[in-house]
Amino acid sequence: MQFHVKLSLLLAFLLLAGSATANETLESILAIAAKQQNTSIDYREVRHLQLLNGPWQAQGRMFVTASVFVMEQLAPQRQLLTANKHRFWLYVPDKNIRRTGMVTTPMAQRNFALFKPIMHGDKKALEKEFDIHFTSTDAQWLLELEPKRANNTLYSRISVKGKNGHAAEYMKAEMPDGDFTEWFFQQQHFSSTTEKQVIKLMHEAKGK
Amino acid sequence: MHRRVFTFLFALPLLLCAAIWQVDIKTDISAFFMAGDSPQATLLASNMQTGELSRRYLLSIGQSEPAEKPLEFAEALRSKLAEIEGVGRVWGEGLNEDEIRELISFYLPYRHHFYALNPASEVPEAFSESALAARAEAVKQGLLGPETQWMKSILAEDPMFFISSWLRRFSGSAQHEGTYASLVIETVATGLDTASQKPIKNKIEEAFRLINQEHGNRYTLAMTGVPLFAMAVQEQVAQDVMLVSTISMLAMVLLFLLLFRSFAALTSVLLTLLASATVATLLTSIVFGQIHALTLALGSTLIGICVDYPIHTMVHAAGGNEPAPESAKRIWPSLLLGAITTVVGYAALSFTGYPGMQQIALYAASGILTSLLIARFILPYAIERHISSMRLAFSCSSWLHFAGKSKLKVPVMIICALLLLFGLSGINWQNDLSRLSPSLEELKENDRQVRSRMQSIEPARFVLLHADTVEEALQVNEAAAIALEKVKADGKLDAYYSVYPWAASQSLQQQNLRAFSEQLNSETIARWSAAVDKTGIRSSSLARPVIPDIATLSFLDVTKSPARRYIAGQHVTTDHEAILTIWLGSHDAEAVRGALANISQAQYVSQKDMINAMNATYSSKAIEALAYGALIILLLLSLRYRSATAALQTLSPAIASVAIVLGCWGISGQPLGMLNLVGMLLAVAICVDYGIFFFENRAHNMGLTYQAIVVSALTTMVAFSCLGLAENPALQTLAWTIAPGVFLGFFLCPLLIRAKEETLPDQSGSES
Repeated sequence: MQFHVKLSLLLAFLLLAGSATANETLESILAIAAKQQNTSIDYREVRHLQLLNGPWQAQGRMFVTASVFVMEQLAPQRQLLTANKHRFWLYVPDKNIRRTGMVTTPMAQRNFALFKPIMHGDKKALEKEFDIHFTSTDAQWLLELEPKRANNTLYSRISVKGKNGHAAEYMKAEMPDGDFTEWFFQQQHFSSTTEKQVIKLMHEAKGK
Repeated sequence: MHRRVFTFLFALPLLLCAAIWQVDIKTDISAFFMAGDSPQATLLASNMQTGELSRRYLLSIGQSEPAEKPLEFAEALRSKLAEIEGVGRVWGEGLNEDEIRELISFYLPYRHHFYALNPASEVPEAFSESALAARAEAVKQGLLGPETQWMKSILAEDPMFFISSWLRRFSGSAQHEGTYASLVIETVATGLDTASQKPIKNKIEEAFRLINQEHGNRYTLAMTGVPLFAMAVQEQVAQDVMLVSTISMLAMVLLFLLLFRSFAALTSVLLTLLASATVATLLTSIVFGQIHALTLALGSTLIGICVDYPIHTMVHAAGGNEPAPESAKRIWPSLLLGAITTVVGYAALSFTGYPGMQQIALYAASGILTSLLIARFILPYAIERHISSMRLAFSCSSWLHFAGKSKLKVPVMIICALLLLFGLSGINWQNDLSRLSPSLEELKENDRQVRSRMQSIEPARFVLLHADTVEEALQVNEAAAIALEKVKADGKLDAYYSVYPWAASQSLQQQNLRAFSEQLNSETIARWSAAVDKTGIRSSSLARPVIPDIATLSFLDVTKSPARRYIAGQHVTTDHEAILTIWLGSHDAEAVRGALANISQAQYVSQKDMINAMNATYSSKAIEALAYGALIILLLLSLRYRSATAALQTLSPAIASVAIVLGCWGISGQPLGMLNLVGMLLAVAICVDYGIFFFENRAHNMGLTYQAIVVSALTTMVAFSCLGLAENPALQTLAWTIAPGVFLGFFLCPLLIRAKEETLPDQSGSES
C-alpha cells in the first residue's frame, strides 16, 4: 500500500535531515546519513490532489532512533505510523483501524528503493534507481531525485531542500498524475523523555 | 522323492519369483481410509486424501525467547523453501500488499456482480442518502490516508466505490495474532505419495537448519500436515510388518522345535507356509493390482491358521498306524470342513465395510486353501520317510480323561450363560473409531498446537453443502451465508469462511446486475455527485459510473484465478455432484444448526459425530457379518452332519468361548469397539475347526486328535499374540480378542463335545 511510499520518503528525509550542509557532497551526506541515530521533528504535510477542491493539511511529529521510526499525526485526526527494521504498523485510534505488514514484501521493497540506499549510504544503489541532482548555493542546498523507471514508481520526482548550514526543512513528492505532497519540517531536541515517548508510541501502534 | 513333492519343490521357486515380480506393496494409508457410505463423505474423503489440503505442510516458527513474530526469518525461509524441487508454492500468513492488489484488480470489474447476498434490498440501500454519504466519506478517507495512489486507481474504474462491499467481506480473513510466524508449503505430489514427500520433508528440515544456523539457532520449527501423518503411518506399518512377521516366525520355529523336536517337521511346515503366503500374495496382487502392507501384517497371523492343516497331517501320520497319505485321506473331510468354516469367517470380514478388509479376506482365503491342499496332497508324501521323528513330545490324556468322565458340560454352559448375562449389562461400548487409527499421539498434539497458532477455524466442525451442480451448490452456499450472518450478528459465531465472496452463483450475479441496472441512473448519479462534493472531493474529476459489460464470473474461472488459494479445500466437484464447505470460527453449535435447519442441502457437520455415525454403521455391519458368518457356519455344519444338534454341539466351544470373553469384558468394564467384534468373528471361525476335528475324530483316536488340536491352537495363539506386539492399535485389539478366544475354544472341546467314536488314550500317554 502507498504508505510504504510515505514511510520511505520520510525515512529518507529523516536520515538526511541532520546531515546536509552547503559544503558537503552527496557522498558525505550519504555517509553521515548511514550513521544517523536519534532525530525528532515537527512536521506539516500539505496534499495537493486534483480530486480535492483544495489542499489538505495535516500536522504532527516524527521520531527516528537506531531501531524504529515513529510518525504521529496529531491533526486533523490522530494517526500513528511506525516501523522497525522488519515491519510497519498503522493505527488510527478514532476508527480503531490497525494494519501491519512486512517491509520486505515485494511492494515494500519497491517503495523502499529510496530508503535503503540512503540508510546504507549506498550511492551506487541510489544511482541505479534515480537520476540524482545535488546542488548547493550559499543560501540553500537542494537534492532532487527522479526515478529511472517511470512506470514502476509511485512518484515522479522528490525534492529535499534546506537552508545553508541547516538540516532539510522542506520536501516535495510529486506523483506521475500531477498530484503532489509538500512537507515542512522543524528539527526538535531529542531527549531521554523523547525516547520514552517513542517506546510508548511504538507500543500503542502495535496494540500492546 | 514322490513326483508330487518334486513338482511342488520345482514349482515353489517359480511361484516365489512370480510373486516377487508381480507384487506391488502399498504402504500409504489411503486403502484403509475411512470413506463412509454417503457420496458426500466419499467425495470429501477423496478430496482430503488427494486434494490441495492433503498436499500442504503447515510450518510454525517460534523463538526460544518469545517476542515478536519472527517474520524476517520466515521470509528468508520462505524463499529457500520455494526452491525445493517438488514444492509448488509457499506462502506466509495473511495477505501481502501485492496479493491484495492482485485480488482487487481481479474482482474490481465484478464489483456489481458480487455486491450483495440480498441484492433486492441491499442494492437499493446502497443508493440511499446515508449510504452515499458514508461511501463518499470513505473515498475521502482513502484519498487522504496513506493509500492515496491505490484509492485513485480504484476510483478511476469504480467511481462510486462499490468494491467497498466486497472489500468489507473479504477483510474477514485477518491474520492470526501471536508470537509464531507461519508458512504453508504446497507440494506438487499428493500428501499420501510418501515416496515423493520424504525427500521434500528432509529438504524442508535442511533448509530450516541452514537458515537457523545463519540466525544463531534462535528459532524453533514445528510442522504438521497430511504428508507427515502419511509418512508416520507408513513407517509404523512397515515397522509392524517387520516386527510381527519376524517375531511370529521365530516364535513358531521355537514352538515347533519344542513340540516336534524335528527339523524335518519344521522344514515341511515352513515350506507349506511359504507356499501358502506366496500364492496368497500373488493372487491378491493380481486381483487388486497391489497389496497393502497392513494386509501382509494381518496376513502374517495366517501363519497360525495355515499351519493347522499340516500339523493335523503330521500329528496323525506320526501317531497313527497307517501310512501318511492314508491318514491324510482319513482326516481330509474334517480338514476341508474346518478350512471352509475359517474361510467363511474371513470372507465375512469383507462385508464389514471396513476399508481394506476385502483384500485381507482374499489373502486369507487363498492362503488357507493352499495350505489345506498341500496338507492333503503333497505333505503326506514328503514326510513319509520322516514320520518316526515327528512324534509329539507331550500328551493331553489327563485333561481328556478328566473332561470325559466329569459331567461338566451343563455346568460349563450355565457358567458361560451367566457370565454373558452379567457381562452384557456392563459392556462398555465405545463408538470411537480413532482406536482404529495408528497411535500417533505426538503428531496429533503437534498438529493441534500448530493449527491453533495459525487460525481460529474450528477444524472438526464445519458446514457441508451438497447439490447436483456447482450452480446449485453456490446458491445453497449463499442461503447458508445469509443464515450465518444472522448468527454472527447475534454474537454466537465469531467468523465463517465460505466460498462467497470469492465465488457467487450465476443467479446471484444476475440478480445483482439487474438491481444495479434499475438503480443506476442520472438521478442517483447526481445524488452521488452531491454527496461527494459535500466532502470536499471534486465530483467533476470522477469518472462517470457504469456497469461493465462483462459476462458473469464462473466458478471454474475463480478456481483458476488468484482467489483459488483461498477456497482450496472448500470445494469438491464431479460431473454429477458438487460439495462446498463453510469453515466456522468459534461458535455455538445449536445456534448454527438452528440457523441452517431450513436449508435441506446444508448440513452442520461435527467430525466427531460423523466418525461416530460411521462407526455405528461399521459396528452394525460387523454384528451383521458376525451373525451371518455364524449362521453360514451353522448351516454348513448342519448340512454336513445332517443334524442341527450335532452342528450346535460342534459350535458349542466357539459359542462358549465368545460368551466367556464377552462376559469378562463386560464385567471388567474394558471398552469394546467394532474391531473386537471382527476379532470375535475370526475367533469363532478358528474355534469351529477345533470343534469339527474333535467331534469327527477321524483318527478314531481322541488322544491323537486332541494333540493335533492343541498344537494347532498353540500355534494360532502364538501368531495372534505376536500381532499384539504391533504399535497399530487395530492389530493389538485383534490380537487380544482372538488369542483368548482361541484358547477357550480348544480348551473347552473335551468338556462340551462328545466325539463320534471316542477312543481315549491310556493315562500313561502311550500315544506320544
